[in-house]
Amino acid sequence: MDKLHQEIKNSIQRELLSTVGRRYRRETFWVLFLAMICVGGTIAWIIQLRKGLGVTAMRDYASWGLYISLLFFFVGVSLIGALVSSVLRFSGAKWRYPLIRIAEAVTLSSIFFAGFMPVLDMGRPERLYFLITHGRIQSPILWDVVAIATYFIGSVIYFYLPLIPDMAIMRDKLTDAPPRRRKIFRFLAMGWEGNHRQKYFLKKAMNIMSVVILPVAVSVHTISAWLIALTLRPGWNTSIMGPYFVFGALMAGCAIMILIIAKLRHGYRLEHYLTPKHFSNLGMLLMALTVFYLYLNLNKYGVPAFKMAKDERGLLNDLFFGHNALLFWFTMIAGLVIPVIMLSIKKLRQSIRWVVFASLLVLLGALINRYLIVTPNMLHPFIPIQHAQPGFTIYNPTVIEWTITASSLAGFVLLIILLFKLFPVITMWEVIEGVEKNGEEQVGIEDLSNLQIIQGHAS
Amino acid sequence: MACGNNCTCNQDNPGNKDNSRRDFLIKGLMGGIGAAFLSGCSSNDKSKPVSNEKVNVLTHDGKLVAVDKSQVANFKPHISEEDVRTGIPGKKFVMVIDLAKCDGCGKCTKACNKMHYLPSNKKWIDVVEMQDSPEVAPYYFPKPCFHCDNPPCTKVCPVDATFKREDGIVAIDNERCIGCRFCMAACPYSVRLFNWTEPVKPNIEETTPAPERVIQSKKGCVEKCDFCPHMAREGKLPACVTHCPMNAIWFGDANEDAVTCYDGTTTKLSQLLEDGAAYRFMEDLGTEPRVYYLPPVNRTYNAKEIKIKNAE
Amino acid sequence: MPVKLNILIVLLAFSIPVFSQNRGDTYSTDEDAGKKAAVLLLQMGANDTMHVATAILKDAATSGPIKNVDVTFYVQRSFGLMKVGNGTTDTTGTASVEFPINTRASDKSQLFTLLVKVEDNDNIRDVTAQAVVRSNIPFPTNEAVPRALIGSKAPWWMVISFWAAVGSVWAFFLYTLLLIYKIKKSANYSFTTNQKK
Repeated sequence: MDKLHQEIKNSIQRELLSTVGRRYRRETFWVLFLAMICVGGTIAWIIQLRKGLGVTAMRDYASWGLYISLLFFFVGVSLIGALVSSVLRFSGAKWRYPLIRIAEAVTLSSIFFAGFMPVLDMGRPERLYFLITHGRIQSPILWDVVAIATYFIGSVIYFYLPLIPDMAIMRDKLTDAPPRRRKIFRFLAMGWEGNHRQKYFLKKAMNIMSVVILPVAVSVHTISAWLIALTLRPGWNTSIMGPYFVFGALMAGCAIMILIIAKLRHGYRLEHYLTPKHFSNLGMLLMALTVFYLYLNLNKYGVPAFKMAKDERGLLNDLFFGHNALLFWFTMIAGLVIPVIMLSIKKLRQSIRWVVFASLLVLLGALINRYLIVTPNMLHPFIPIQHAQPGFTIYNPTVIEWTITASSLAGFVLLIILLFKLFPVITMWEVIEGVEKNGEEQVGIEDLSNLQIIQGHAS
Repeated sequence: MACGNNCTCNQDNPGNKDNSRRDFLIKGLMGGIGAAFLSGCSSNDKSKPVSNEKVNVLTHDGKLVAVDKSQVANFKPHISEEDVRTGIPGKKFVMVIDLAKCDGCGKCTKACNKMHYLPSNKKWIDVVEMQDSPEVAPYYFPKPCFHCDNPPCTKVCPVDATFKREDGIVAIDNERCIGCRFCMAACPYSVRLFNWTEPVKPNIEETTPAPERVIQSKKGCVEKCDFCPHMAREGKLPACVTHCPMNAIWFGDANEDAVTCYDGTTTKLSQLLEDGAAYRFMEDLGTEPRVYYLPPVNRTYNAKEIKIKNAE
Repeated sequence: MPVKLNILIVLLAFSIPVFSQNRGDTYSTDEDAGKKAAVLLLQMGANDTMHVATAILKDAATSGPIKNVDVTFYVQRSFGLMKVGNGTTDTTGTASVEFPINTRASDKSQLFTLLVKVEDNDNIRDVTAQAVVRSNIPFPTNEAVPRALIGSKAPWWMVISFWAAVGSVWAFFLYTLLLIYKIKKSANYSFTTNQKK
């Protein structure tokens, strides 16, 4: 493959830089909408802080609810960064180039909120610093805190590394940006000029990070799984929890990735860079992960259901036929089986719309699944629940809880949007380099010979 | 020098619950023995009515002095933060619950709630109706905290707010608890309670460090049965034991190999466990509870009347 | 304390008058009116398997033995008196019981208090004598909560592996930051050779 003509490079850069700081009417609407939800959530949180966790529906039996379910969800989603920038890197998938920054942004945002959820769930958040002053490293909570912090910092570094050359491009190209911004660009570009030494160091740093981030990512979610697997409760007391969470997480992360690139492709007019090939490949990946997760579910629920041990019976009956049966079978059938069938049909997999629909189902299933792992399980302890006050034997989240939950999800999306207001969605230099080495086909972007037309709308 | 050695003080009515002699000496030793202390109690509290009840007290130089009881009673030894974390020296508390005797009257719960100023909806000791299978007879199952020797709850606490003491008690420090509720998730016996809202409690100032306070309720913190260490320090039994009219609950010190029940009967722990074929609840979990149960054989009440109402 | 304790005899008779006097001051009730005062003496001995406690009951006024009176022996425990036996005084005013040698001490001092009582007797006022006895079996020592998962201090292997794992990851992060710094340092390294036109 010949080196790309400088003109083409320039136009790619111009096009991809055009999203930075640009106002889109629809996006503004979304930002305002999400910000409003966040304000609502903040008010709800203040109420919760003042009145105590009594404003939630959590009680002594169901002592963890939506917040912890959402913690597991966010930690799970954060694995997508490691999947794209580490696993796909090792497997040599070239089509990952346009996806790297999106994946890292999702990771960064979700791990941030993953760190935030436990604080929402704490009875005495003002004593958070006790974790440092009185921390016991035997406690899985401390492992979780350290792992989340480590993964967050690792993700910041990994988000930043491929940004260095792009920052240099922004420094050089966006000469009409306000001086303060240009100062930031200049700082973040780290004097990048693309010489051999710099390229060597960057490659080295990225190689190291892609290896290091993988065990960190896996440990983050395994430890989250251990929060429940290290207890003696029926249903939780199982060794499958670690892998179960990790693969459920990869699946949910993949689904949310598809949804976000679908939105970005449309909203930021990135059709030439995020093509049906990406959706089809990610759809394939999602299918593989969903099949595997289905298999893990069969182990998690099928094995105890065959034995029907006394302690597990109550929970299993509740999930299969009882109060939570609707949710459970939704996650199993609509959240796993149907998406697998949909994604296994080639025609559907090549249609962005269908892939997005399948991802939506998977994501919804994954969210509900997190809840089903946490709360119904707590309502089936060893010693039968008796003489409980009304409201203690059932968990129906309150408005405050829903608001805070919704605003966490809104904040998660908002943070991603914010990151793409500051930085280009697609790693320009890597895409260019990838195309130079492997061609458009491999990277999955459209033929660059059409670029004249592209320039038309990008200017 | 230990108190029993050449101290031969005695007191009137050395009955089962009156243990002030020994108690006084322990306190005396803790609070800094000797003349300073004695002069303290004789010069202060002149306003107190004199009870004419003399107690013999050992001074630091080994002399016996008789002082009025009223001057001793109010002496509270200073209990330090370290004391409440290591526990009462030399003790290893243990409870035995005789399921054959428990008729489910719930007086233990009431007494406990009264002692710890708990509202009726909180139960540190809960009497659960149990029936292992439909054909077997049901029985009442008083469930305090088991104060496990391998406690799943202290394992998971991130800030050392709940901890295992050397005297066997699993205590909670509500000046430390961050309210993560991991201990509640970890406890297989659903013993722990959380203060979801500001608890209703009297305005009583307690100078003791948090783990040994009578009132443990604190908003956003966890609480549970604490084996009444504040009573044990005074040589008294926990509230549930002293209010169980069926003598179903025994409490004592495993190091002394003795347990005592409501009517003051004190018996050899090892003998009781052996004769009663005692067991621990869900031994297979490996939590090593410090609460033993005597099986519900030859019940003294009509078991058929127990109605099991498990929440679904 | 003498080493050979199984033949230790502690006489506590001298404390009894104090006791009786106190009792008289406090509870001189009608119930006690017609009863006579007695002195109780307690003598301790032991053989290989049993402690032997002997109580001698004497009339406080005449010092003569009192017979046919029930006496009960207790060991003082934290929360109450543990009955170890009872007997009836014979013509010499003596009653004795045996109780197992493996009776535990009350604390680290290896001692426990044995009490003998005359209670609710129709003719004699309640009276108690006590002796401090050395236990032959060692008092269990409370082990400090070990460095363990359940304790306040983490086991050493966990401390090491935890910080080794976290530290190695953070070391890589720091190294990456160093590489970023090197990128900055490498600016203007070979400015002209790498300029692509």
